[in-house]
Amino acid sequence: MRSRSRNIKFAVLVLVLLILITIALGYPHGSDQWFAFAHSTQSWELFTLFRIPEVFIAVIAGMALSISGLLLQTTLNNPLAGPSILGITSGSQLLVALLLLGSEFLSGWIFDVSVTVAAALGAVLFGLLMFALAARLRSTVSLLLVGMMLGTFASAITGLLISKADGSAVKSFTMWSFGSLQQVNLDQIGWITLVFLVGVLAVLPLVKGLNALQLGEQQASLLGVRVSRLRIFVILIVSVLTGLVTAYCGPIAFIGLIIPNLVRMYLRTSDHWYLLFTSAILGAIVLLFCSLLIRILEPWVVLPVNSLTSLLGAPVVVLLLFNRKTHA
Amino acid sequence: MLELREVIVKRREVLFQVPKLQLVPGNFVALIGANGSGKSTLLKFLTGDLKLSGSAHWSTQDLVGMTSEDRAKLIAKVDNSFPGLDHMSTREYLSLGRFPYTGAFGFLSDSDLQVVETCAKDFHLTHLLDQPTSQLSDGERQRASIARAMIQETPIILLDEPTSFLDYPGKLRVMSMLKEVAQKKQKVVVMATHDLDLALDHCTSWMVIEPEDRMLTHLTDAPSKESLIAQAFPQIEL
Repeated sequence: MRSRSRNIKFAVLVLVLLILITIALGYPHGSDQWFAFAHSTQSWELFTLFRIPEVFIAVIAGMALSISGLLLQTTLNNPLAGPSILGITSGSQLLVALLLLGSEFLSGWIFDVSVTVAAALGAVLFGLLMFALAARLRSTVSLLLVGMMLGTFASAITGLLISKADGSAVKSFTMWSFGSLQQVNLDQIGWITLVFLVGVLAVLPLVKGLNALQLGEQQASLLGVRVSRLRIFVILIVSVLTGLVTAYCGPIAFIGLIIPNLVRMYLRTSDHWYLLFTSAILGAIVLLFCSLLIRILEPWVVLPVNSLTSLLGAPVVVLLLFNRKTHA
Repeated sequence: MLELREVIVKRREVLFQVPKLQLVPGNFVALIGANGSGKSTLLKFLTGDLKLSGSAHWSTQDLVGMTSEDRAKLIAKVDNSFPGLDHMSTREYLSLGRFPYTGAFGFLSDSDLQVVETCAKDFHLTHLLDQPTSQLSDGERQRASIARAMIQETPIILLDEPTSFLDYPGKLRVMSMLKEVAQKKQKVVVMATHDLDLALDHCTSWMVIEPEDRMLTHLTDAPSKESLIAQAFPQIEL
């Protein structure tokens, strides 16, 4: 018990340190010095225009994706579930593509709101489809396969749409689909925070039920959990959180799948108060670390964040699969 | 008192009827019948997982129509096995038994913790409290499952073949544990089982599903093993 709270305190400390480092440290760009946070107005502008929003969205996206992953894993009783592997992210992507390609007249906050709504709507549609299929599929692996098929299907339609679009729209969509933590500006922070907080606050009343759901659907309902209602709330929350991240950062794979697994392995608890909080913190740490890595490597190679999380994530998933002894 | 009236147990076709059944607290009742005879279906009816025609009451409370929150304070169920989870400790598993009594966020009060501790001691689980449930032996895990049902503090406990994965001493231990629970805490304990010998030795009454008459018979006097077999499995020749 004591070591658990020490681990959590340690994780929070690492996150705070990493935020400070990312904010304070200038990145080496050509002749720039490492510590570029001098008093020139130019670096101050760079600081507020790019670095603050980047740190902010890395933290929010890491938290939102990890929480979504944990919610999906518990609700589907499948430790390999996650928003991207189940095709929910691709659903989001499809609707955002429709919006981006179909409407060039949206701008300002209307654009922000409509992209979030479109992304969340795509996530809800594919989330519902996924849950409907999950009710019939008991095997971990076939559920994942179906999720990947859903994702591929959505991506194919997205591809078809793109092929019909004009050059500039194609370029902006392609850039967006690489995933990036550098597309958010200061003005959008308020709206993103609002949506994120609504999503997170909505999780709190579900925590008790999630703990019981780990015993299986039947035992949970015998303990008084209304399982189908809980499921619906989970889909909605996951859709909003995943949609939010997908709208502003593009698709980011593997964070939602891996982080909750690591947290479960190291905390060795089934209490979702610990699991949710620590997953959020660790998710933020990992994504922040990715953004730091991307900036540091920038002079040599431009790494889209989605490629980086996939590079790090895919081997971890394979390891997790190998380590699972039971009912894979 | 648990009272069933005019219950028709059916899946695709009618399996058996329960015209009237009364189970008094303090009884350890065996539910005996062949595979597919409808034992689990009857238990599912009591836990609200399945709708059947007929009524089930606990004193004056209607078990069929009540909400799952209310039912969780009256009925606990033990499955024939719980696989265990790597990240769920025995303490966390047992604590989930307090679920119906905790507030909206599920935090345990001091008295909740007390119930868990006491029960863990009664069932000799204290030394296993911080072990992951996946690392317990089958016997230990089944003991923990029964302890969790006890912690739920319900007047009715249902068990679906709780001894099927246990070795012989394990079976004996579980049976005497259940009898003690029924008698000391004045609960109605109903156990679906295939272990006729154990049921005859330890239970205090016996419900037999008779496939030929399609009836559930409740025997309060110990039957002989032969007559029990003849009632439940009329198709076999001894």
